[in-house]
Amino acid sequence: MNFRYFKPGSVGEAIYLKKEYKNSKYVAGGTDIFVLIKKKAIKPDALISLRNLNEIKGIEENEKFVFIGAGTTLRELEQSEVVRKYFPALYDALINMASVQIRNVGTIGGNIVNASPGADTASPLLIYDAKVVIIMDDFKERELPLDEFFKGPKQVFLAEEEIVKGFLLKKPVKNSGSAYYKFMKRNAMDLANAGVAMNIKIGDDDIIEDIKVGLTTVAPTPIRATGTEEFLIHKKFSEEILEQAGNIAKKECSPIDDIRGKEWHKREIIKAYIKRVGMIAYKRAKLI
Amino acid sequence: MKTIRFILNGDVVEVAVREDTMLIDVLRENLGLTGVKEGCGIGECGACTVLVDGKNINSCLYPAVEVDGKTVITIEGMQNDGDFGLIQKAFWENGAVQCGFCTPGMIMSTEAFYRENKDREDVTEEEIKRALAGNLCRCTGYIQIIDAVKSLWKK
Ligand SMILES: Cc1cc2nc3c(=O)[nH]c(=O)nc-3n(C[C@H](O)[C@H](O)[C@H](O)COP(=O)(O)OP(=O)(O)OC[C@H]3O[C@@H](n4cnc5c(N)ncnc54)[C@H](O)[C@@H]3O)c2cc1C
Ligand code: FES
Ligand code: FES
Repeated sequence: MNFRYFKPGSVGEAIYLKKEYKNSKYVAGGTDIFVLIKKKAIKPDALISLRNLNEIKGIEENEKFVFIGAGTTLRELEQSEVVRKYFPALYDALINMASVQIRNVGTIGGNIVNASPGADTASPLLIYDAKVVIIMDDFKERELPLDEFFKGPKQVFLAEEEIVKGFLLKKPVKNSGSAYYKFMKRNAMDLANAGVAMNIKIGDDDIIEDIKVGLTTVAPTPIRATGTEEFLIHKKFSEEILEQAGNIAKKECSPIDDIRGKEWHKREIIKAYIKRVGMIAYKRAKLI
Repeated sequence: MKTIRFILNGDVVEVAVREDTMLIDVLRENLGLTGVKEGCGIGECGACTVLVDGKNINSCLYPAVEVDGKTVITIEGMQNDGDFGLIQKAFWENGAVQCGFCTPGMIMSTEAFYRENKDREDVTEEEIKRALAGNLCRCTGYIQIIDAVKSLWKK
């Protein structure tokens, strides 16, 4: 390892440093970056720490939206009342991620920008219609929906100097419920073989009035299962309908054989979890 | 090189470090605290766990320059006047130590968990397992470790 390490106190200073050092990287918690550096997968000359930027930390809410700063740690989110109350699928994801040690330093911004197909916070954010708020190199801000932010495996639409400020999430509407579940080889400290997030709104007569489905580790990026959503919308909720939806989800994803599992197995997990997660989301919708 | 100042196990220390050094190396090499163990070096095993401002972190993935102005506690800071501290004693009494390599990290994660929950009546086994999920042990099979942690709420 051989890099300079800077601790800017403002977004302006961070962007300035990023421009100064060509072969540099931003670092938040470093739980992805330092592993890559130690494995010699990347060799930056300088790291620019985002840890002291208060502008990108914390959780704010108004009537309709919640803003989650990119620099908020996974642990802070897990312990937040707002997350628990409004975004149970995100909470489900957080408490099963990595370890307490990693969650104490790793950030939600790092998880999303790192853009692993298995990033656990991604599909929960997708089902809450999250928008990514980005600070550009001229300090202006731009916004785009999270599903348009992912470009490919470990790639996002973000220019070198740009900093993700945070994520804007819609608060849940009445009679809606959500959940996330991932399949792991171990019960802890493992990335997902496959995972499903679902946000469902149940109307009169159990009709599905709105539905969002997010899938983890079964495509080049975390994705929305739009075919599954189209199938479920306006149907009457039942276990059977979830079973049929599972068959669609299993076909519309594109997993590959890798060390985490075989393609066919991941498809089967998706099918089973559409039902399992759907049932939990439905129960939660009925509780509110 | 950068000079950093922080509180280490109750004392203010000042040390000059390379900007690309991880905290574990400064603790072990510059400051001689070899109770902090390095297993995997990439956040998987938890042997290197220390507390920074009360939170347990993996010192193998934590840049030394980030502890400037903060408070760090290692296993060396867990003793009580030359004797075992509360958690060390619980591990000892419950046979939770075999080769001992994971023990410093286990105890630091337990300390963080204990600080957060000590005022509660009791904690569940599930909560203990989650709190220690980032600490691997190749010897004990975890049962004695979980017993040791549980015993902290029985006193
Ligand atoms: C042992 C271990 C277990 C893990 N388990 C899981 C798991 O179960 N599930 C999971 O999803 N992940 C897991 N991870 C991966 C990692 O911990 C998470 O992805 C974490 O959220 C990364 O956040 P960070 O702040 O540490 O990222 P960093 O390493 O600091 O940054 C990651 C990337 O994002 C960029 N970046 C960070 N913040 C910003 C910003 N605000 N603006 C622009 N760019 C930014 C950095 O430049 C870098 O390219 C694990 C990692 C380890 C080491
Ligand atoms: S040495 Fe740090 S987690 Fe293994
Ligand atoms: S006692 Fe040997 S690794 Fe835990």
